[in-house]
Amino acid sequence: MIRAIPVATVALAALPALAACQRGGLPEDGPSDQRFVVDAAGLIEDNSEQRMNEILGGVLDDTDIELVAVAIDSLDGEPINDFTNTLFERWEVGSRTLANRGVLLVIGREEEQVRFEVAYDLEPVFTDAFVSYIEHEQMVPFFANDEVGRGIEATVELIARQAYEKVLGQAYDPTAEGDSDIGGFRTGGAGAETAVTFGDGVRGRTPPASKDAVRSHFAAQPTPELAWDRFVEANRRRIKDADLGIYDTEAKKFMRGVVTNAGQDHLANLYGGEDPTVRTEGDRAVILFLNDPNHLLAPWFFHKTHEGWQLDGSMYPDVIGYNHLNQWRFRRRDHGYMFAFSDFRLDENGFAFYRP
Amino acid sequence: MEGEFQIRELIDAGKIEADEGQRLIEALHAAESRDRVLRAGLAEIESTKRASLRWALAATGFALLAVVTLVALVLTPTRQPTSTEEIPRIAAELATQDLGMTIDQLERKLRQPGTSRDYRTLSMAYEMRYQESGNETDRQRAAEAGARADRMQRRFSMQGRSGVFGLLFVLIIITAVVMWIVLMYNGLAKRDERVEERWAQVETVLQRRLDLVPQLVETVRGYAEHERQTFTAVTEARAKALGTLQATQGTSPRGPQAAQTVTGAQDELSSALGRLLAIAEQYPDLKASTNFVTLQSQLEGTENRISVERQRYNDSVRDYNSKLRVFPSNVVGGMFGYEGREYFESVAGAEDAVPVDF
Repeated sequence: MIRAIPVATVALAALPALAACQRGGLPEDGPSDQRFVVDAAGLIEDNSEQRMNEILGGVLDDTDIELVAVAIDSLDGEPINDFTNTLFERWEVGSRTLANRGVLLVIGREEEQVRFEVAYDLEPVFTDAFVSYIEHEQMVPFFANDEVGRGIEATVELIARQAYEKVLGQAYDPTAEGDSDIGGFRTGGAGAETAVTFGDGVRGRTPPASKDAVRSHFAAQPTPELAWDRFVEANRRRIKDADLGIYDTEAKKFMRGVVTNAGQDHLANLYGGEDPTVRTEGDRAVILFLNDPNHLLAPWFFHKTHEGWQLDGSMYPDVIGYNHLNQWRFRRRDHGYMFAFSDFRLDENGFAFYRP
Repeated sequence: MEGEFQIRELIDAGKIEADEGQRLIEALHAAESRDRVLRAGLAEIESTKRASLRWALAATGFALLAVVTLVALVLTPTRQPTSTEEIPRIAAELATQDLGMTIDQLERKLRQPGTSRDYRTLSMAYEMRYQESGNETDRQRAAEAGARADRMQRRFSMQGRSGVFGLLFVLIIITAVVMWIVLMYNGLAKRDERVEERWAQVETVLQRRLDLVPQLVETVRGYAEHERQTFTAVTEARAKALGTLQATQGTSPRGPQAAQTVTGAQDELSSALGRLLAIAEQYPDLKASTNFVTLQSQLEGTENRISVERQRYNDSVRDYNSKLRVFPSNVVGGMFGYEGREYFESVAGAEDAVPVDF
């Protein structure tokens, strides 16, 4: 009799969940220690899925946040909010953390909806406003360009970045244990949902050309410092015109891909208040940041062409790479800009440490 | 939440740095989150306390019954049949009497059913006469009477014990019934408490929405000064909703009517908010402003929280009500004065009240 009560409750609670698991061919087994991406809709390329699993494993280890991404074919008419909430509890997202730090991302292919649901413990870290912003400014543009895998990856990067910043800002302690639930539940419906479109016919769309005044403001510059300032300014103003003079041919190619508001905001916020060091040798210049103990401020490379100083697009992502916490490192050292790093020590993974 | 709006105003007015303000807002969010966890923890402690009290009562009752049973076992007098112990005394008596007469008397007496002592005496008398006369019939009679005495003695001893067994049986039945009532009661009380806990969560998220409303009104007012009627309607609806919410928050246990009391005012607020957001649609600058976008996502998030908590509350009510309706727990429920709970239904559906549109 005593035992029958919780059993009955669990059985009752599991009923909608059981119905949910058959939907959209969602696999019975949820996430595991190595698997954080469950793609039942075939939206994510295999290598992208593998990369994300690695990134998310690192995010779990370093920020104690378990982020699970699920893409399903169809919600069969169930509101995505209800579906996500039920699945969150059924899969016990966040049970791999020390406290109750889970985030579940559900992508409904047929309904063209995405939803992030955030566990009770993470509500101050990922506010509804932040989640909604990420969905609108990061996922929507990528999905519209039919780059779902890359879009999720880029989103995960921003989430990881936010988590890492919160850890650095001591908003929470990833080594602290906590209660795993409130009244038996892990999440209270925090987060946000957003409508998306998968490939709305604007694939390969050229970003709108800017007005002449803007073009001349962002032309190739007489000094690397000015080119850098213009580059940050262009991002702050969310200018997506790929043909600005401050970009070289390679950089223009990159800018023709998916550039999101969230990505630009992030860059502008990150570098906006920083004081860069400029090191020039001949036609090459490096904008670098000596006070960067957490490896968050990657260097930027400019070279002088016949137009003037322009961003050297060939360095990304060939030379500079990022890990799951968005910490930058050198992937190669055989490039023409090493002159600027003579007073840096590089460890075996390519992370640079300023040692004057 | 009010605080967040004030901080944002300070940032907008340039009185504090945006970074500093952001940090303050984050600290505010963190404090709110801690507050909520704390309140949930307190509710849990309260419920654990009540549960352990119930179990302590049940355990005490059970222990009392066990003690009573034991005492009854020890104290119940078993009717000790006499004859075996009295053999020396009977022998002494017989020695002073005439054997033949004694036997005749006893045989006469025992035409009617007699006691085991009578049979024992008869058996011993025959035995003694056999010793004297060596008559085989006497020996047989002695054996017969002895066997009869033995049988009667056994039966008596059984009769003495069976009284205790009967008492024990009754006590076990009573114990089982009491235990069963306690379990039924516990099952009901636990469900009742769960309903209370869920309702507390519902109140928390409803309060959260109420806290957002003034900021939303202020933000819209900044762009659409002349829509005074709508602002008044929203503010009044909020005040009313706050009133009903506080009225139910004061009482504990909150009673089955809490959900009913709150529903109407919440629905009014939902529709007033719907009108406010419809206004916002007509002002592109407002719709694009960071403050409004932030508030809107917070409102949407809160609507979803309400929907989630309402669902969980209703599930707990369903669980409790169905338990209260069926035999045998309905009997126990009636004994202890448990009443059915109201569902928290929203006519408009809180989550539909706010158009999700960017």
